[in-house]
Amino acid sequence: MTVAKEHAARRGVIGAINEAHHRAVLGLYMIIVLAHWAEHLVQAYQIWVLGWARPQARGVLGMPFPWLVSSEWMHYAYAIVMLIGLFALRPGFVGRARTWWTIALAIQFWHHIEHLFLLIQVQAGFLLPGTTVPTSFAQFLIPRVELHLFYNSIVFLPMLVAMYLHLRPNERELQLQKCNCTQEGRQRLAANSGS
Amino acid sequence: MSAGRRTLAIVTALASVGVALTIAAVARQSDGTPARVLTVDPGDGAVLTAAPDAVTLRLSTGADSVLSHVTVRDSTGNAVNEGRVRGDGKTGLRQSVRLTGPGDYSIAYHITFTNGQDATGVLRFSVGTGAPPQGIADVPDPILDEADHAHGIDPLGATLLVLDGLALVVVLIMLLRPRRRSPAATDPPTAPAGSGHQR
Repeated sequence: MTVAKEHAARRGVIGAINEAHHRAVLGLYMIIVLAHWAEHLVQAYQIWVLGWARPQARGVLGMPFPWLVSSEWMHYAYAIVMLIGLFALRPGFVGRARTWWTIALAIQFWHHIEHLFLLIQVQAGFLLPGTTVPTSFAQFLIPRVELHLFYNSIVFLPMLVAMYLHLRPNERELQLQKCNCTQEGRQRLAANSGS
Repeated sequence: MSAGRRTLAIVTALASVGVALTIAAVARQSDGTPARVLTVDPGDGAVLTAAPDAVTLRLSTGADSVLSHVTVRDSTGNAVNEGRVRGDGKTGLRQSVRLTGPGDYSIAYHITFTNGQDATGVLRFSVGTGAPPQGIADVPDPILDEADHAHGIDPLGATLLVLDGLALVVVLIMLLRPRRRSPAATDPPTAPAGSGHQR
């Protein structure tokens, strides 16, 4: 067994996706994030450009599958997937990129708590005093804000910064990186697996 | 597997998922007969002697109660709904109401069916007047509170979406620019120290 494989086996799945497979898994994760963002952008287009009524503006996949828009479980599941992705891919980030990725992780963790709180309200059938619909903590500060969209939008920005810094590391960060996201990283992994 | 082939495999797999989802979406939207509202109680033009406590709709297929709206208004346009519309069996919806007194009332509905189709309609009925409803000309939209969809889209969210898009474009442009690297940065770390490269 090569040194790289021994190392990956020792660290298990998390080790593998943060070293030899970081680029592929991170790419897949970003495709999911961007597809979700694009769906909401289509929704905005349907409302403000096409002039559709809000319940009919359900993006692309929400048109044939309305439950994708209305299901509290679905949104909670997406928040969990995002949280798991941010957590599982974090060890591959170093330096400044790791700081920004951690900020995104912290925001997403709070987002997940908000969704859990909403889900409990829906499932248990109770409402907070003075409210007529399940309400999140953020909606006390910014009334009528759409929780899901708000948090996903603000998580996206530190993720983008982290991604940029991860793909354009300074020399110190380059030495710390163990993943295959940069050309140097791929060369290093190839050199290790060939040794 | 080389990096190029792995990327090709991933892109092919993702494209396949995209094509499968598109086919499923088209198949679902063209699925059989159009979904429709079969009956509404009270019916259009009904002359009632006693006020109902709810409006019920029977549908040809299931509806998504979160995305559906049924709004009952009196002749002055005030909504008399009590709470939100709820499912009533597998293919029904029920909207509780508290009617304020004798007079003409309107029912406006927007139904989102579980197969993705939509239906809208307007009906009128009277209570305690002994005459068919005739006083209500324009019936407003059934959606009372646009913010009641927890996963819709609002102006703040839309602005953030656009900001995200701008940030994405900026990052992509920055990534497309050629990297400025010192020659040392291209060396694998396994290179022996003191090989003459500057760090």
